[in-house]
Amino acid sequence: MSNKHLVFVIEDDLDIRCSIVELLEESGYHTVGAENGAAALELLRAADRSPCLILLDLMMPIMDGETFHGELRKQPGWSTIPVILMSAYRDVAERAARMQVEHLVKPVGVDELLEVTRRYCRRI
Amino acid sequence: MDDLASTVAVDAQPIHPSHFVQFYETDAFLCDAVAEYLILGLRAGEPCAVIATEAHRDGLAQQLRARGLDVARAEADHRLVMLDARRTLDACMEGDHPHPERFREVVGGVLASISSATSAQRIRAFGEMVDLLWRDGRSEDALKLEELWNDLATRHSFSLLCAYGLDAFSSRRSVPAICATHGHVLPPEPVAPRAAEQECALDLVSLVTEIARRMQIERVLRASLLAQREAMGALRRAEADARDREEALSHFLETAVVPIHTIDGDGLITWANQAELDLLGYARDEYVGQPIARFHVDAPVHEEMIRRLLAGDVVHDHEARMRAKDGTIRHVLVSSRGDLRDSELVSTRCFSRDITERKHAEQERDRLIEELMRTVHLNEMFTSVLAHDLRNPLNTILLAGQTLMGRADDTIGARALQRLTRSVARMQGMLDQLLDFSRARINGGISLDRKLADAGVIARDVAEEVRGAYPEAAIELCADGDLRGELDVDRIAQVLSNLVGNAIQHGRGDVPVALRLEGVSPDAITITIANGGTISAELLPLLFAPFRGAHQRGPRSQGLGLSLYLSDQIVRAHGGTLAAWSRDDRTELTVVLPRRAAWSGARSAFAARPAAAAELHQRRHVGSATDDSLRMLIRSIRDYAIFMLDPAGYVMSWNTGAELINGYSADEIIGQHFSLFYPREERRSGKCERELAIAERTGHYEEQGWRLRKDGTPFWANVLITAVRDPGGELVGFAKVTRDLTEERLAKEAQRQSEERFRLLVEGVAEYAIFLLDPEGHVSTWNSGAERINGYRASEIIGKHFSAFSTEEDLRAGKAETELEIATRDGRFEDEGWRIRKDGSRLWANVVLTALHDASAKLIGFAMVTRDLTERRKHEDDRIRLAQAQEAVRLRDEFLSIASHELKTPLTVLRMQLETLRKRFARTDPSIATQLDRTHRASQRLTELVETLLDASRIATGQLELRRETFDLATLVREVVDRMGEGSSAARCTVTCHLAEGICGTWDRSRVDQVLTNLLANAFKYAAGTAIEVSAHGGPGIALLEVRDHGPGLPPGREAALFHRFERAASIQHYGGLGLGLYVVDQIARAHGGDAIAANAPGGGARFRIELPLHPQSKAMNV
Repeated sequence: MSNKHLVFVIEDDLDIRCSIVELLEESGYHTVGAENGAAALELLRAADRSPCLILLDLMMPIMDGETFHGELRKQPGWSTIPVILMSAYRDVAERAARMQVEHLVKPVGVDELLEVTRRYCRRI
Repeated sequence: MDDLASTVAVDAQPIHPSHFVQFYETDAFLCDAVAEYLILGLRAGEPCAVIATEAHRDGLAQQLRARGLDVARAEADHRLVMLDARRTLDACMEGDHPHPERFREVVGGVLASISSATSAQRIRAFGEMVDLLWRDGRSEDALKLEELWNDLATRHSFSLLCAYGLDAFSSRRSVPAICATHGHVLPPEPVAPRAAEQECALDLVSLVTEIARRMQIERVLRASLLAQREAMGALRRAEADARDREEALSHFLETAVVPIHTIDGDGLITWANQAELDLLGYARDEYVGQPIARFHVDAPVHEEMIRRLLAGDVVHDHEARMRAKDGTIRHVLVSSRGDLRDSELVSTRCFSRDITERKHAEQERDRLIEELMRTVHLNEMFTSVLAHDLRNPLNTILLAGQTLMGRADDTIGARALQRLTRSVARMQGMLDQLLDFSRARINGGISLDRKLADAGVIARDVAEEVRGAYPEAAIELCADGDLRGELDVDRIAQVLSNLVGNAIQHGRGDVPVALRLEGVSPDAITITIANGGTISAELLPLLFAPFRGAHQRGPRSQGLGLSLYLSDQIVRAHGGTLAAWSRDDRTELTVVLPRRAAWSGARSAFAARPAAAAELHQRRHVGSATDDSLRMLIRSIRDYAIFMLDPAGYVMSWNTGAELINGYSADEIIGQHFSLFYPREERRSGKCERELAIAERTGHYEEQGWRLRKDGTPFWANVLITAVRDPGGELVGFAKVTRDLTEERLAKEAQRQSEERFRLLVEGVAEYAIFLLDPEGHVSTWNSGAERINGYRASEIIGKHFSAFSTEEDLRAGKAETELEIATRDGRFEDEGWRIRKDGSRLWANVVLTALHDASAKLIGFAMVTRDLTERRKHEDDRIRLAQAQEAVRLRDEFLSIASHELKTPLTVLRMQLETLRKRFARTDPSIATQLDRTHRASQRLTELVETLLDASRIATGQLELRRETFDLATLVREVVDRMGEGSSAARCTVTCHLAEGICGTWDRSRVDQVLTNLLANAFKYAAGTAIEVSAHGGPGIALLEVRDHGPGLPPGREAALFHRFERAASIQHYGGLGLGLYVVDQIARAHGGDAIAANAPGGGARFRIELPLHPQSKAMNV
């Protein structure tokens, strides 16, 4: 079992997903990428622990961000996992408020990502 | 009696109607009969010619004398001419037979000479020549002579009596022949029965009698036949007239421009004019005789018409659809009138009006509006999608750039990365602006997230940020007063940043930019940004317009020219204002921000009158004055005579009003008795004393009656006498208040009359609903216009509350009450809004409510005038909708064009820098190389997206141009498939090609490339993980390119719509993309004169087929 914190990055855009995963990995977080909500649920089930943070895109094929979040909240073991919305849509703020989560507006910079990850993955 | 039949032929014309034959037995009878005949003529002024035997002449003369005729005198006057029969006969003979000419000469001559001698119109003749012939046994000559007599009757006007002795007849055989030559057979001499010989005579007599009778019948029949013929003739003439008229009418109807047809009781077409046949394109025999229902598209519509006709209604402009012969549908308005008999429809006349073109135009317009509205709706999605699709690649580049920045140790690399990052930031800024612009213009406004915030704090942060961006610039920040308000912090920051940034860019470097905030006013915060520099007078008014043109941009202008426009929009969204002022090398931009969001209550069509409340206040507090003031007040009142009487009725005081009304000055009247004002009779009857007595007893006396002025003229007055007592209850006198009602009376009468006239006027006005409400708002009158507009009859609505006309929403909001309140307060209320008719339908009405007061300013009700503007509004609405939709589309196209152009600049920089970096790091640092590859891909995607946007906008503005060259299609396909190898493997798709060789055409290579690329990209996206087949083969003059996948396929029924702009097959939730790819594909195909077709492939998946004519044809591009 790894000592590193686990972060999930759920984003359908390959390049962004890889960029973020790489960035976080290099910053010391064990990062898992999923291309949509359904794949993410699979990976969550398979994981040996809960992630300390999920970075969630809104618009994805097969299962979008909002649906995934709904599924997440249904499971008692996962309902407390912090989720941060990332989206290019300006109304992400409203959606995030509705979902009662924080949000980041794309394009997200390196510093922003690192800052928010640090904040949620502080405690061991 | 067979031989009779031959003589009495009804149709035979009478020989001579006045040719009589008399059969006789005895001379006495003959002479008597002839004498009677002659005397009647003579008395009637008809001279007589007698051609008889001597014996009969003598006998006649005797009989005539017996009847009182002076025969000699008559002969002398030529009124009676007697000639010998034998001699006359001989004169007419030629040889042994009567000669026509001789007869005419002789007998005609006699008649002529009588006629000229007496000037008579008509002659009576008696002749026996025929008898002589008969007795001579020359029956044929006798008959011939009769004919000559008949012929003579055509030349001379005479009646003729012939006589035949019965003794000359041996048999009856010749009698009919004789009778046939005469017009009348007179009753023969009655014969007394004698011996066998007389039997023959009897037989003859009865024969003659029978003939006579038959001839009489014949005459009657003939007369009636003639009358019938006459009547028939008249009838036929009338018929001919009617036929002519009918023909004229028929011709008119037949050739009328209006389609007309008639239908019988069974619904079969009985007649149709040419216009009707032309309307539907049928020949006459294909239409007439057919059931009309066959040609109606909608049976219920036809049945409804029948139902109404059966109910006795006249159908007017009933809308129907008719089937034309060529299968098309014509829209018509049918007006129809039916003939009912015993509640059955016997026939119907129908007039039609072809409104097909109008209908099509309406439908087209509706469709256009719907399509435009849908496109407008798609804008919503478009802006969101645009944000997503453009930002993802940007984000990739940004992350990579930022990561690499930390790593790059050589200065060139570091600078390149810096530039890269800045480009991204610029693009980002532009995108933000563009999206804001689209929100402001296309989506109807920038939405704000207002919170209580301190503008001073925002300004400080902005100043710091701007100083960071422009280190050389000097910014002076000055804040004063309370700067708190309900503001969207980010947006206000954006505004300040824009304005200050602008001020720095366009100002003189040596003058610091001043940022001043003032919070003195309780309602608003004022922010001023000033710099050194001048904005020209031409530019100033356009400062806040979007996309300030290139010629207007200063040398240091960057970006899209949207920042000032957007700042203005944001300020307006807050309810504030942004203004610019420039003079003498100094420019100031002033922002006024309301502290609170504006009250967005219901729109009111009236302005509140602030004075109303004050007036009301005044009216209520007219009292509270001192005695002196009261006295002064009373004295000055002009409308009422107010004066005091002592207990005995003598005038003690006098006011201006009394002087004006009664005519006496104070000096003249004080001390006089008040009975002076009363007419003599009343004075004598002691009325005055009675009034005072009543006033004393009951406290007051009031009446209306005649009073006299000083000059003796009477006036109608309202009089109030009040007993005035001291605190002890002792009568001190009387206060008399008199009001001159004469004017009022006359005015009332005049008013009544004018009211009557007004009432009639109002009654008659049909365009406006004009009616009265009582003070509570119940309808108290109604007019024909009101009935027409609202649908209620007077009996149904009078007494009801006028909120009956309010819509549900207005009822809930209590709008009716509010309207009354406003009308009461301001005197008037005007509004345009929806009202409800009796049948529940809506009408758009202009309503004016006017408060009515009586002379004492008491509210007595309201006048309500309503005008039906529904039609006008509907047209207005449609017009506005259409205009709005068109404007929205135009703006979106404008936006696309600018977006794509402007984004290309930083994109170009981006790609250049990336190239540089790749070259630099590819060999030395593989991990950086991977990142740079990623960014390279991202920038490519960005470029493609921007190109697509550009294409779409070019197409929308008709600027798509083809550069044709001849090439082999299969070669191109292989190239493209090759190039997209990476994409296909990333999507886990296998691409197989079935390409026919040698298909060469003249096409725009890069465009065809684009088509295939788009289709493949689509397939990778929506049918990831499936097999994709690309095929190219040729047909006659045409090339066919197909891309088929095995993905989920296309939603059925919407295949064609896929090629519309911003259309998408999948929901936006899951797949991004602008929805422009297929649109561009379709447009490129059409530009080549070809087509793009989408369908579901058999066995699953989607199939896109592009048809490209091998060579250019003259085909206009469909945009």
